[in-house]
Amino acid sequence: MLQPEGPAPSLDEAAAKLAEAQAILQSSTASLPLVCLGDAIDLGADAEGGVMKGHGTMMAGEAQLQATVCGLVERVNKLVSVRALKGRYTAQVGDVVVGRVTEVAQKRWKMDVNGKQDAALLLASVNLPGGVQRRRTNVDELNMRELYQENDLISAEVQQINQGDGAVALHTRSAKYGKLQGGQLVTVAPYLIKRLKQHFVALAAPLDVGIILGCNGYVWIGSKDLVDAGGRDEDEGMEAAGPSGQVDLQLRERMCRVANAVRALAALGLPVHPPAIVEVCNLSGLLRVEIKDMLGPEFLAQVAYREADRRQAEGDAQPMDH
Amino acid sequence: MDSQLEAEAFKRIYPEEYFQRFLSEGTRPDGRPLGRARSTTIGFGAVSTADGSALVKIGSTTLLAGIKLEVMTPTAEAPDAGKIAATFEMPPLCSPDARPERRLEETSVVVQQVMNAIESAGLVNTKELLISTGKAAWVAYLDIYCLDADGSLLDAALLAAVAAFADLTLPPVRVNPEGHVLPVLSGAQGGNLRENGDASSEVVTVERRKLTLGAMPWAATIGLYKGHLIVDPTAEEEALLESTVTTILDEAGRLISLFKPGGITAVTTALIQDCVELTRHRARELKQILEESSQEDEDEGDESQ
Amino acid sequence: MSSQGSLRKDGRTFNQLRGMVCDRGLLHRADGSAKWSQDGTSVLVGVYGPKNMPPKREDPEKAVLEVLWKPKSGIQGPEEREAEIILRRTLEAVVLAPLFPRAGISVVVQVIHDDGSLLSCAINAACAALVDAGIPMTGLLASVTIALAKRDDGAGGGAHLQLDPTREEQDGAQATVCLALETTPKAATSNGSVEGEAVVTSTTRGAMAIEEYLEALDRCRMASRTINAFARLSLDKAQRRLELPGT
Repeated sequence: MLQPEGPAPSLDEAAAKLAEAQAILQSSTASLPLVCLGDAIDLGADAEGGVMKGHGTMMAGEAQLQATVCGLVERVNKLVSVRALKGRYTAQVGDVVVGRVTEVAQKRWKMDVNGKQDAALLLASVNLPGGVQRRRTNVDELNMRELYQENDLISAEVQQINQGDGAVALHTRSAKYGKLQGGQLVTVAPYLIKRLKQHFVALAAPLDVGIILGCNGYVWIGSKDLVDAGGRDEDEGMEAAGPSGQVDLQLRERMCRVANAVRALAALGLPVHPPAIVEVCNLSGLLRVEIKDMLGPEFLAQVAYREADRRQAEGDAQPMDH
Repeated sequence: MDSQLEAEAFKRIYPEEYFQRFLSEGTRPDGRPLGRARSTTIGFGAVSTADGSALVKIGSTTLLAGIKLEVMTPTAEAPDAGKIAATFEMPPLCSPDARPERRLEETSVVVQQVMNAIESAGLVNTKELLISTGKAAWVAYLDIYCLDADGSLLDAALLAAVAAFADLTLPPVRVNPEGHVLPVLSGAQGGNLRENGDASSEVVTVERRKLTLGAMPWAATIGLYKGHLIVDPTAEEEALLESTVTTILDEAGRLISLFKPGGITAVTTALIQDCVELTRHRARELKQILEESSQEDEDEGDESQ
Repeated sequence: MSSQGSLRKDGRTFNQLRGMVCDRGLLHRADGSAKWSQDGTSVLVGVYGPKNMPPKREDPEKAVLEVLWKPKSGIQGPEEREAEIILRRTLEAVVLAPLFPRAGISVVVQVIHDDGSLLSCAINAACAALVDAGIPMTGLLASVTIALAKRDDGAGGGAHLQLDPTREEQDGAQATVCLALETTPKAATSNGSVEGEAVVTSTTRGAMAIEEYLEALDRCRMASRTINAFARLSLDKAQRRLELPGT
């Protein structure tokens, strides 16, 4: 255990501890149905009924299903698919995403959402300033830059996905969506963010920050008021959330701690959700770890051990059935 | 007239089905059987200012190869040999896809493969390009220009290069005491060389001479399409093919190169052997064409003198 | 074959591959990356994509693959450009590009050290990087190079085929063959025999007899199975390193 007051362990020792902790976490993957590219997928009992091939699979010869990616085999009734872990964000309608504007094009903004293509935010899908509902005119089109410019960070929701080529259309037709400022963006792998009931979370005191967990792996950490109901004035609609001026030091430090907690979870490959973030922050407080040391191997090892213990406890409580 | 228009429209809209209709009859849109290459002609000395040149046509594909000789100092590693430097260009006139600012990928591939074939076959003995050991040697700049790109560019480019080397004549030169290489003047003055006070010049060659060429490489590009082997594809056919294999053999039957750069379908041993057989046949054809054209060229040369 | 007992300069038999190492996920900003080493030859490949492609270069029906080959030192020359084209066409044989219309996949190859069999090493590395990026493929490729050593005078003749040659062996050989093979043998043919793995890419240097080429092909097939087994093992280990959220 890390002694807060003792001499700091050497880097090698810390790295060794981290590796050990990671190994413990990995051992829980031994029983999962992982499959490699090119492997034949066991059709199992469904073979007689016929199978539908989903993502990540292809037919190879007679009644033989082959994996085209490495990942986890998922079976839902007759549908067999292989879910790859790494990879760009695949949108689903209704996902909350955080994106960055790359281009202001005709009647739309092109946004980078860490997907296979840039997503489009149509002019018709945003709320005009003043909350007015009317047809978009040429003047609106010319004033697009007043609303969002290149490199602006925006929270939005996936409206629809084009069947033909998978192009994603976003919308910000709600008070809680819009431009983000006065905070920090952390990028993690999309598979670490699971779809939750609420993606706009206000972390309670003493953390007191608001986070937006974009399903595309972009996590925004900002001030709490963006999350509060009606954090944006309904009438204003398009005002950016968050302080536009100087952010005070206290808030900045809290945001950095939360951001590093997210990074720590991502570095260990653990899912990023609010309880986990809060726990990591509390652990760092308990062990009196400086914000800047939160990404060092000693602290990461501690987080990993904690997680391993938690899984152990869970495993003992209810035997896993596969 | 109507049916002609219909056929054209069908070809435009459904190029694959159009092609397959012919294949199912064992033939191709231009009427050739699958295993036959287009008619090939070679014209020697097409560029009078070059030291060696040849114009090759395989069907509509037209390539011009020219060799210019320049003097260089041999390298320390090979003081008794010259070298060959090749370039391949596709000017915009040769194809609707070729543009001045964007190099087509064929340019990189063709020039590398042509040089590879020439070196692997041992066509040119670079020692023959020597003028004076350690002091001077010829560098042969082989420039190949595509004038009309209608498929199988590598076949035509290699044939043009081989023909250009066959046409190449090394001019007579002498090396003066300072190490400069000077041309030997022809006719009466050549004989008076020593009396001109250049007694100290080293006369390297007195007559024009040709290279003694080694084994000649012959190439055949064969396309793969749904199990069919299609010899010497045109540009239209190449756009539909799944992959191509270019086999290069010399007259002794040695394999100089078997070049298959990826492509959607992979080949089995049986298909490779079929390609080799087809290439053997084509190599015999090409050798004959070269010899006949060369003979004609000599005859013409004799006549003009 | 003569001199079967004699060893090569680095102590290998003529039929022995060099030790292979594959590290994945080295580049954090790339969607996938892999470093493949065959003793002295080492190549790092980064894969970016599927990602947005500028409208001028996008293909409405499938993803556009582009390869960038960076030599160890100096700028790109004609050999690097040829290698880019060969590698790109090789990868196009297995990447399921129609799944990502209008997208682009960039494969960046950085040569770290070249001690022979460079193209083979690059093909193996590129496949590993594509898998690391989670890009669907119809199968893995295995690439291997063979050098035909010059005939020994007086040792009974017969050039022997050296698998996975070093730079020295490659430069001194009479001919070399570099092949990329599919890793699943074709189904049994009508006469009951099983065809070996099919050839996706073949490039050769130097002259050889056709029989020698075909024999080299068979040796490559056997070696490709070893390479494939190693690649699968490395894949499996890398997979388990990625933590899976509670199922």
